[in-house]
Amino acid sequence: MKNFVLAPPIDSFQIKYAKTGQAIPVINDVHLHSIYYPIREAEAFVTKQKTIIGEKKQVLLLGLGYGYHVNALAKYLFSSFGDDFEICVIEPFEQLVVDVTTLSLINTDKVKIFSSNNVADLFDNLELINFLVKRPAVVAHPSSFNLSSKYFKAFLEFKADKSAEGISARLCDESLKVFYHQNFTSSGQQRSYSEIINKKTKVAPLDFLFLALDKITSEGTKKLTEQV
Amino acid sequence: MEKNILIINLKRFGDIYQATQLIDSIIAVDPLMNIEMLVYSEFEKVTKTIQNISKAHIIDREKIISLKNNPVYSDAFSVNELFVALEPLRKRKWDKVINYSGDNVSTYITSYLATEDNCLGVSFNEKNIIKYSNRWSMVFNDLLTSYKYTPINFSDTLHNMVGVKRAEGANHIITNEKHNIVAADNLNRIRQKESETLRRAKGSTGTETVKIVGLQLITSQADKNIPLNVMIELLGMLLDDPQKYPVLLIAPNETERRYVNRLNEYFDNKLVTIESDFVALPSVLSNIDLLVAPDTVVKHLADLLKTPVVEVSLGSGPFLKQGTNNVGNLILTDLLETRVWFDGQIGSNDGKSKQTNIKAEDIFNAITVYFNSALETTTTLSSKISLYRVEKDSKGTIYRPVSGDVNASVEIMRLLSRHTLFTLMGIKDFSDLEEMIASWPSAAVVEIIKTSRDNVVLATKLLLNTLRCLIKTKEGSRYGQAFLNALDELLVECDAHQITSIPIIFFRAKLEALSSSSAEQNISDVETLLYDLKANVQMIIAILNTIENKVMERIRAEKEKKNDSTNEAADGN
Repeated sequence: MKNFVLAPPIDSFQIKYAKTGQAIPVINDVHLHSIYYPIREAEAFVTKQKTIIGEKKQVLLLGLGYGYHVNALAKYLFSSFGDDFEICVIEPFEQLVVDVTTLSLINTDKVKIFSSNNVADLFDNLELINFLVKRPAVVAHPSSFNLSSKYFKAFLEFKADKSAEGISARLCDESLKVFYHQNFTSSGQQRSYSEIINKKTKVAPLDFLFLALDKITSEGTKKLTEQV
Repeated sequence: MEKNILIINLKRFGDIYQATQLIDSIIAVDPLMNIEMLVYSEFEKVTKTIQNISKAHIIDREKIISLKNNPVYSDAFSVNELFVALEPLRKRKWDKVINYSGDNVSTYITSYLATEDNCLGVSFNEKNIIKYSNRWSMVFNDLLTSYKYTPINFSDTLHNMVGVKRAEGANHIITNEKHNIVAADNLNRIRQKESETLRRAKGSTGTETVKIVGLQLITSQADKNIPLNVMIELLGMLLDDPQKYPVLLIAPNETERRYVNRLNEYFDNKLVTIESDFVALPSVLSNIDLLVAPDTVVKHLADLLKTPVVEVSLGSGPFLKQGTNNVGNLILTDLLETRVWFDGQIGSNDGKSKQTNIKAEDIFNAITVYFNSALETTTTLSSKISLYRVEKDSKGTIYRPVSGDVNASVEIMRLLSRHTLFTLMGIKDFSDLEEMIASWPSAAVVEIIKTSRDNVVLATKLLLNTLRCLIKTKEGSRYGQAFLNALDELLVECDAHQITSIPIIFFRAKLEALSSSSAEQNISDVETLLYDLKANVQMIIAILNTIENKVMERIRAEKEKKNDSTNEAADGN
């Protein structure tokens, strides 16, 4: 499968301690935070991202590490927007997620973490989809990104499965799946729902749902007044 | 027992506010009615201020578009999003589902949610063919969007479609008590201060009160905006008039704040500006004496609150269809025949700021006329500008020209169209014809009769040709093309904006709604429709004859009067 990109294997996993006492994960000999001043490094990281973040209240962060940069980011967003912000973190290594959760290293409830070995599975997570659709600012934690660059690049370049089977499998209701299978599976991906339905001599209620969907998505947000 | 109505209104803020009139009329008939509305999420906030909407359901259009059009997301998610939004509605038993917006999306959704017997408005049947709940839904969907002499207001059409009488009295908009107090306090303070200044200047101890005139500055479409230079001049005039005081009304966004700053540069930053969102705006509008606005949501809200309005109808503002509609309100417009007809309304067709003949003085004069209607007949406006007053009769809202330039032929056509429409709908009322005869020169009326008769002759010729070709198709399909050509020629008359266009538009609507089971049935159905059309055209002939008789009576009466005066003068000598 095209999008089947896994996290890199962990050959080694160590925990070291910074001069300032914070735990620093080292995976495959890559230090995920500064061994000297991880908090200061995290704050400097956030300062550099301010232009990318701009006025956005939602930030997608690539790489969890042990969360120091996440906390710094949350502190910055709180100072700008109060409680009205969201951070989602993508992390390929589940061990890091377990450690961060067990040790309560993230000090805000405004952060959600999404972890999967396989990039494709992330895009089936409705909570993540609902977040991504808000068009968050995307920010990469440098050491995490470098450690798993193939994974994160696959995430950023992901293309959904547009096959009829792929779509049908992801429909939320059995009636939709049956309807979709009956009407669209042999048509290929090129034709719109309207092109197929308008050729039918008899339509069912669900046909109108798909016709409405086609019209909404083809007209965009500007056009509102076209009469029947 | 509670009855449930779902109104599908997938239009903008102004249209959602305007629906309040219909909602309140329904509640006036049956206070137990539970009314819910389906809207797009970006327009949801306005529904929270409409008292008689018990619940607003939303479709997150932007999200659906992102999910469908972005290659990152499976198409399934956009389907799921719409399905999940509509599923609770589909499972409910609705007494009525009203397709308020009448566009493609709302019609598909109405068809999805409504049943055979609970739909009001247009929908599609199981053959995906358009279906009208009644003839008023045909007026709403086809006539109002095609015919430039707009014989009936949008709101009146909807009331007729739903079968309720328009409720009088203020509409039920939720206001915030705190905002009410603050708005009343602030605006009364301005009123008192300026009134004292006025009384001092006049050396009066009377009760003269200054009128606060709210000016709404910016619309969503550039071609509807009052031009900047006109606004500056108007503000100067209002500030110089001791009896009026302008306040600027803006929404809480940077664009409008920047515009106000620009205006203030001309007035030493002395302009009073009131910035309010939809929660506070009703409180503000309830405390001013008059609103001057283009065709905007603020105008619609002012109508609901019974705040007087002078509407400046520019660009694509469809005033004949959706103008301010409280009795006594005024509408200022470029001469109707100079406005372009497009896409269902009179206006400009490119969305850009259009050259208008309306000057600041015209708007100022309209404001003055509002406060003193006796000045109607003596007020002068710029050339090619018309001022209309909103009035009501038994048929609904009517816009009567009261000042400025007016094209008699256009006004006569408007009255003729109105009378024709209501006659075709089975409503006998001759008030429009009587007004036509009484208000307009006989020569102009005679000219319209002549043009209309010529048009009737043409329409009859095309109709009979179509009928002939249709009958011939029974002999063989080789005559089919001739029939189609004849039908095409007949349907071209829909866009002719002549009096016969009205029944031909209805004919076209019924043709599109035909759902025959066989070719033979189809021919028979079309034949029936053509004979119906023929009957309607004959009705128009009868109307024209009636007008002609009345005009002749008037001409005779005028001649007799003239002869009597001549004889009296001769006797005197």
